[in-house]
Amino acid sequence: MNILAVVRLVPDLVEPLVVTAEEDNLNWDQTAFTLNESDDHAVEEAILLKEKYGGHVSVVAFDFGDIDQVLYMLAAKGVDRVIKISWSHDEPPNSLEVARTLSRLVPKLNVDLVVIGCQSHTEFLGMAGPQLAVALNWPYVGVVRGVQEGGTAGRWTAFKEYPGAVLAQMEVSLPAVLGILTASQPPRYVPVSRIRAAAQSVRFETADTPAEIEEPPVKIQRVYLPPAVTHAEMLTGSEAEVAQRLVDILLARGVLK
Amino acid sequence: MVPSRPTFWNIPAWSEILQYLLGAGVVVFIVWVVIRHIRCWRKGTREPVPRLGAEVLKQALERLARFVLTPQRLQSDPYAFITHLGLFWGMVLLALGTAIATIDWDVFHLIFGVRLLQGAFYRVFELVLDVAGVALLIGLVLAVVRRYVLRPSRLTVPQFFGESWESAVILGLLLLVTITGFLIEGLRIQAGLMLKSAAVIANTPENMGEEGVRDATAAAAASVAPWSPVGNLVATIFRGLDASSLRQAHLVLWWIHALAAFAFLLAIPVTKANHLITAFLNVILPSSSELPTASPTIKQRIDGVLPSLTWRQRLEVSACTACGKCQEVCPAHRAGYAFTPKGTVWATRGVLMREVWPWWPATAKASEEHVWLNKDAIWSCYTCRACEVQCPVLVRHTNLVVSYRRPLVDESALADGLQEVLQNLQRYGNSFGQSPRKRADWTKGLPFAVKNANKEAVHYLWFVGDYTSYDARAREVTQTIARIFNAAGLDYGILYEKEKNAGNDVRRIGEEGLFEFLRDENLRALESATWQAIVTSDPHSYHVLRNEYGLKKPSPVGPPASTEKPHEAVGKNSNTVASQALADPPGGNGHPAKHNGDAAPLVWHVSELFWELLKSGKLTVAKKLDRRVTYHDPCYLGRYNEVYDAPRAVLEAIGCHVVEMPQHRENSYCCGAGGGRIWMKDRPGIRERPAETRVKEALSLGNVEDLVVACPKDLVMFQDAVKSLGAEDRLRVIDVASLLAQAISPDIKSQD
Amino acid sequence: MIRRIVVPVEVYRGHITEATREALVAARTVGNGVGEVVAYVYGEPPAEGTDVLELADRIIVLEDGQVGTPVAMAQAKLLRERIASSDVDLVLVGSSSWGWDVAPLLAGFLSAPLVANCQVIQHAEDVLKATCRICAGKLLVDVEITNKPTVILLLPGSYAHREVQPGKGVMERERVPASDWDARVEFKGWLEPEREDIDITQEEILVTVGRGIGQQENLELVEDLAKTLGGAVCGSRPVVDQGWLPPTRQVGKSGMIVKPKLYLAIGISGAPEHVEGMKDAELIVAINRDEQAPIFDVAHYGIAADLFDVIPALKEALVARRQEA
Repeated sequence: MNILAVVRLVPDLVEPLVVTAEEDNLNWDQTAFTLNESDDHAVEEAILLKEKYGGHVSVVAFDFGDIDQVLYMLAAKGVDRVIKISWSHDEPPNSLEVARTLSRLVPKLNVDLVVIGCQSHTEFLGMAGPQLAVALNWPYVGVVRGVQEGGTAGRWTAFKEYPGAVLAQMEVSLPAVLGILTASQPPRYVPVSRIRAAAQSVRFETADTPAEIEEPPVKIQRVYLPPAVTHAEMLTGSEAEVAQRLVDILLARGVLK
Repeated sequence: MVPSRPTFWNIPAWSEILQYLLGAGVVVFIVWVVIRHIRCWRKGTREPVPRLGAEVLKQALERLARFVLTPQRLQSDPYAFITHLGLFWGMVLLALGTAIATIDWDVFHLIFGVRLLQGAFYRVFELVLDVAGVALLIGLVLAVVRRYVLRPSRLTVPQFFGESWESAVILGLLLLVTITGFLIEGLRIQAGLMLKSAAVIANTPENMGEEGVRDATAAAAASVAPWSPVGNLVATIFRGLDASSLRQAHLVLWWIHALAAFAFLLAIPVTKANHLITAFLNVILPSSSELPTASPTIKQRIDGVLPSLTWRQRLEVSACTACGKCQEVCPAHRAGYAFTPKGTVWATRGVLMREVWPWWPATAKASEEHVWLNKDAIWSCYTCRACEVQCPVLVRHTNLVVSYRRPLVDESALADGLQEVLQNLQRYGNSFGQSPRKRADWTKGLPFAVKNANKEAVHYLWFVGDYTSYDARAREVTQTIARIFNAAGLDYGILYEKEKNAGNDVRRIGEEGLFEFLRDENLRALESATWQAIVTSDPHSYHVLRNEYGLKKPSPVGPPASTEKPHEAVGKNSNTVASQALADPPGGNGHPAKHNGDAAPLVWHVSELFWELLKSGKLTVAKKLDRRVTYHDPCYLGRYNEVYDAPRAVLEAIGCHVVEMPQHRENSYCCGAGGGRIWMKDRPGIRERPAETRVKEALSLGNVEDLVVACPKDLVMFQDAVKSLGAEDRLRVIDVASLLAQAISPDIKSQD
Repeated sequence: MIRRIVVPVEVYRGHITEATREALVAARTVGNGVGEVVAYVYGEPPAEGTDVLELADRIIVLEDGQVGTPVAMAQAKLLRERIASSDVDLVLVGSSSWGWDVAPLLAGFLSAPLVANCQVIQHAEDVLKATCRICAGKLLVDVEITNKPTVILLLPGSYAHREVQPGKGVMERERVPASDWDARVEFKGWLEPEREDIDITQEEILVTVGRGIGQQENLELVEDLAKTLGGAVCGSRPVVDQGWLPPTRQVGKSGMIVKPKLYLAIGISGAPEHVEGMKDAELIVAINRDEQAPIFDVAHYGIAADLFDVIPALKEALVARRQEA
């Protein structure tokens, strides 16, 4: 079983986001990046599968920002092979670019299963996982919480999460792409000493990316921060008035059914 | 004939020879096991103990007097103290007596043909040994009654360990030795009296065989029988017996006595009686007050259980007697967690004993020991050191716990809640997962600017800390401290976003790599700034900065505006083992070094600085507060660093009447935040949180208005506990700084 | 001019989902009475609650085989030819576990753009504009949609309460040959979570009580309100410490981290430990007597009043509204 996990960096929301003066993009120079959370879970699930059933886990990432630090951490977790896709742009690749590049790389890697976070908080143009699956003509299941070996006829089982922690048991023929929401267990902590050791020993393989970025299929008009809410809007008046206002708000926000 | 010790009276040659052979066997066995013990200790890693010198020797002698000869730490329990005194001095004198008797017989008599134990010396010898025997007997009886009748909880251990078979063996054998000792003494005296009256004594030694000489000696010794008051008394029991019965009974009991004594000797190295030697060694040998460093090359677990321990830790574990004094004061144990310091040490000892002595018939199976060594137990410790100040044999429980935590971290077997915190610390340098840029946001609410120590020289570099920077409640105190510093005209500054969590609790969690990372980052910032001294309001940061950063005093202490970089920091190279780069470790056996006399310390806790500022008149009290307060000693300020007086002095100076809680100073009761516990989720089933126990203790004093703290974590923990107990209207939790601010200037806005 | 809008209908365990209804409402709004709204239903529509489908002009029921099993990939594939061959300008999919798969897969099959995390769609002068809310709501992006068709994945909420005219509601049936079904993914069944108490992290509406509740008896009042709202009661640490609520109901750093749609904080001051556990809730409403309570810094709406006055009034207003509806 060869599993490939895709990891991406996303803006770290702990730091305030800064938009360019033209309001056409984030100011990437002032943006801190962090590992996309569900990608972290995807790697964890891949390692759990390897620990359970044996096999080989590769991780692929675009060479952007401080990705090396992330890759050291993942290598320390037990990833066997680390591939960096060259990337020379100021901003991270969008989902379509990720899907396009990977759809060319994956067939060369002898992979049975691709796991990728089923979401990233910057995605609004395309979604990398399902669109990679379509490009590869592989089956796809997203919003997955946990994967197991052993479906009928050599298929694997993915548990797709629905509201109220209900799971749909889905059997998938391999090769396949799975969009992971959460791993069967939370991603393990990697002690600093192990990361340091991995940084000494890990070897990166490299892969090329097409030189040109394709134009996005929709036109981005404006990127901006929503009006800041720093303090609650206070509802005043008699109890009945206040209660009525609140009910109206709940209805407007779609909370009440 | 001069009375002398009737050695081997009534003992046939075969018995004598057999006894020597058995004795030799016992010695061989003991030597063999001792060698195995030493080998076991030597398997430990290096511990940076201070080099041997006059000071180390002096301290060793002091500890010998304090902890061995008059075991100071047993005095809090008079029953145990008297028991131990009887056992200890009885055993010491009897062992000494046996040694003298051996020298008398096998050296002086055998080689030189003279006796040592005769005349006056013999009479005193007999008296002292009889008294020692009585002392031992009293000690034994007290011990038996305590262990098997009174059964204090600290002697027992939960579930599987039950009562230790070792105690039964040791007490049983010693009782047998003592009682048979008195019996054979009585028999010999009675026989001697009979022999004397039978006038066998008339013969001259030359005419007698060896047996005759021994009879004569016994008869002569009987004439000084009153010097053996107990033996003399026992002799009266045997008055009715004839000579041959006396001889037969004597020989049988003599053998029982000898065999029991040998059995006890055999038991010493393989039971907890080995504390006769190991506790002694542990007390007199120097140790490091530092946590052992964790080298990535050292395997973190041995045999699936044991973490990497230093040779010193292995030794101290084998000194444990399972007395349970640590367990009695342990907040985790009292709160109802699986952890007890005694359990951890005792179970570790069990694992080590199997290494020393694979045939050791342990009461508990290894898997059961693991209940005390598993992660639930190990993560429960608050590292408050309450156990360590109680331990009669100077075991360092908290270091042991940290040693156990390191492999857990390595295996990602973290306590609930820790993972996110450690990741935050890796990524952002603070446990809150907040932007490092927001670290100094608390300064925004101040009417003055706080100097940036990265950019200009300051006298006091204020290392603010995490809770103090990010926690809403603690931040108010931080602002108050800034106002006080300003009122005192202090030249101070902070490191702004370059400060990171000091790493104290990270280190206690066992994430040594992360600690090194944080330390190095902080040292880098400290190195590129110019300062004379460091001040912090967080006792946890205080401890690690003062004792574990290897900071050296800036020299010379010049004017604050000095442009050169007077200080130097060492230990910055992450590749070196920290211990090698660190300055000479202070003190030993977990006792922190005191500040050097009047010399200004390099690292100050704010309470120390406040007191200094009050003493020097830089702060003046405008309004005496006239409040009844009680003060809680933070573990890392009190027990870890012996700062007890400064905060109290500040409180008295501002007109507070300090009422002490029953548990104060070194007996202070942990709030439950230490050792990384503040980040771990509470588990259900806990009896009572330590913070609540502590708040109840404060409430029990009656008419105390404030529970004063000197630690941001205490503030948070106790305020929550007061809320949980619904005692908001009866007790206010307040920081020393907030009270001081009210007293020095009513204008300084402070926490309510 | 919008010609045709397609809405794939999600049936989750016998019910047409709220996300689908919102997508239909959005389709009607964007179509503005001109564009034809076509709803595709996989398998026989459920017996109840199908009036939602009347928001569509045409309802196409795809029949036979496994068509009704929730396999997003195979279901999306069934629409590829149907959409490509019928002048569809827009495909609207509601956000749900199913929609998250269907929308991007369909976009992939159609080689059409996907606009995800879309909060609102505006249509003016034949230009379609969408506003996307990304980065956990911290960033908004306006995009102009020119490509036809375009697949849009809608965030919940924006269209929940728009008033729209129903469509023609004409139902058609189409048989799907078994060979069209992509059988590489197969649905085997539902797994229910095992739990003793309710899982507050899974509840959409949470009513949380703090020390301000005073005593345990007052909890009844709050439980009553939660029931009316259709939510669950949870508490801050002091309340749980008192034993008034089990530890499974504790919100905060040392309890559960929750992200419900509505977080109604009652008598909660807003200690950082607590805020950590609930700050990401979609809508936070706080009721506290103390106007200065820090909870009002995280709440969207605040009521500075005595909870014993507000709660009964609120319940009354809710009941009144329910009777109206």
